[in-house]
Amino acid sequence: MRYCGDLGGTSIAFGVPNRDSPRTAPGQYVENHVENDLKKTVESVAGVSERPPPDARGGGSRPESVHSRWARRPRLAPSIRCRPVVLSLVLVAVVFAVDLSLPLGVAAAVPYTFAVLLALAARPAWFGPAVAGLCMLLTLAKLELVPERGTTEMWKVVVNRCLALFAIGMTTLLGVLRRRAEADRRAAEERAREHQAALAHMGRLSLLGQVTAGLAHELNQPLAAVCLQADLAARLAEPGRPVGAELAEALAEIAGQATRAAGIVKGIRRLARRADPCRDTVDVNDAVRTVVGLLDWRVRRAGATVELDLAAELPPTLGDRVLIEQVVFNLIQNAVDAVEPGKSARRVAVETALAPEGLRVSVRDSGPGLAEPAKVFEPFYTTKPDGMGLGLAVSRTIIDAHGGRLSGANTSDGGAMFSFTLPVTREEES
Amino acid sequence: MTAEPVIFVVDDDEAVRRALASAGTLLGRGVRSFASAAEFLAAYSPDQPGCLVLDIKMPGMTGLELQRKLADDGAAIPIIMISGHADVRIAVEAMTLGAVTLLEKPFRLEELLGHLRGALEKDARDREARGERAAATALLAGLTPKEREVLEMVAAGSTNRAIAEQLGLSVRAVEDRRARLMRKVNANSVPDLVVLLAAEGKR
Repeated sequence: MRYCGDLGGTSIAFGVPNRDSPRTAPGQYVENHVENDLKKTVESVAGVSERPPPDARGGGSRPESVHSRWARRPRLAPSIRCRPVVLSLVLVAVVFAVDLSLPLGVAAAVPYTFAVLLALAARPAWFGPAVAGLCMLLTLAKLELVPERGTTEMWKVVVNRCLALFAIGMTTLLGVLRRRAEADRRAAEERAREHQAALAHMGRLSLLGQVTAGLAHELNQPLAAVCLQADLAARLAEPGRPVGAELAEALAEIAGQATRAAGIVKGIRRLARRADPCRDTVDVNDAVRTVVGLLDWRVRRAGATVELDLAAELPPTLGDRVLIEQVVFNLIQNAVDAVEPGKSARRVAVETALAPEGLRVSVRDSGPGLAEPAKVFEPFYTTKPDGMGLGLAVSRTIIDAHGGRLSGANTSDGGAMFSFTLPVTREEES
Repeated sequence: MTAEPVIFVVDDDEAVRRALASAGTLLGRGVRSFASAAEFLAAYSPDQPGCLVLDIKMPGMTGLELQRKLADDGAAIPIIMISGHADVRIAVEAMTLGAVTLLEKPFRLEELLGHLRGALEKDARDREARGERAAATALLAGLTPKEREVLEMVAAGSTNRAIAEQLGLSVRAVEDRRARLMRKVNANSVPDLVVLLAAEGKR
């Protein structure tokens, strides 16, 4: 399927499957010696992107997230959208023909209001008033073209014409006002949505901050003990001093505390890697569409366009849909961030394809490219003023865990391109 | 005041507590460790000389809260605060409440030992000063208000004649009173009196 168009202005009709709302984590990700408070914060962070346990999948209705509700608004097909333009013009012609064929006294110009109403439903805002102007012109033109006024007195003819003009004018005015109110309402909704998304982002960041602070504290304890015991051991081992049980004790303590620190680190890594990711067949095209829907407001705010080039009949992959979506989300968000400051073409192209090594998803942008391509996957490397520098590092971990590869490079035309592969699963094989 | 100084350690982390205890033992002092502020309060008596190594972040009563409680109770034990992440606000609060120092974890043994020695010396000095003050207060409490009046004027450098004029007494009466109060406080000279008043902390 190839869909290429401006995502701005229209809402996305992509079938967004139920997105999971935040859920509590099943827990057990953290080593036992990680203290409870750290565990709590860590779990609540995990909960942000947590999907339900496999048995909760599939059945029953789950609460919809804010995103899916608006992303689901149906989009009119282009053929329906251009129909009002044609219909209204046809109607104008018909009414004009009828008007011409009737005597001057008949108020045959009033049906123009239907044409105006239709024209107001067209996409360009100027089209309604333009058709109204045309109708008024034709209403008056009839006086000139067919001066024969039948049996009606002239004043009645003029009043009839004026009434028709008034009807057309009022219809246009009301229509334009309604359109404007609609646009205001939509803008307000949009702002509310952006606000909500920003809040969600902030929430995640602050949770991440808590995890980091908790982690720092947890690591500091064994480090403090190791530091003291090592100094102590050095003193006890000074030449000339009899080597006693104290030295052995201090050294054992150092080893024990180093192991404890390693346990904390392991717990965090296991959390990042998600020891037990959910395994389902995932339609990557569908995941990409979902994410594009979620990021629609962001794309629009940046004044960018996202071009989708999705391979037809893409085989599914096996993995955790939410995690794969998170990777696509990160890549597209980065691409949009990259093109936003640019003056000209703010283009982001997302492509899925079947490659020899499996499914390939690539995100290309027309931004300035990567300053240091070798460093982008390093944790805490960021070029954004408020960035954490974790998005790509986490994404690579996720793709690695799925048996794929995520890489990024500059393209020949100056932008950047990130792509990842995922192994193909054929359902009939399993 | 004859009790041996003890290094008290309060930290909720067992490993850190063990390390601090080993370090304290290195100074040849007795070490008593507690896992919480409440345990420490149950065992501590202000008469016990020593110093306290106190972790700030603890479940239940925090280090700062314990420090404030000790200050309110008038227990002047020197405190070395330790913390994993000391921000400026916590540091200022701890120092305002009279902590000897605030060490950020992880810290080196030498650093800790230096502060422990300093804290123990400070405690000994403080206790000595408090002993002297108590003795001076006790001596001076034996004076009558009139003798006390004369004592202060003598210490301020007034002559017997000036004192007599100011109090409307004969010079002889002032001399008598002065001799009596010198005897009462075991002083041989005017500088002795000044030292005594200084020890009482009023001058």
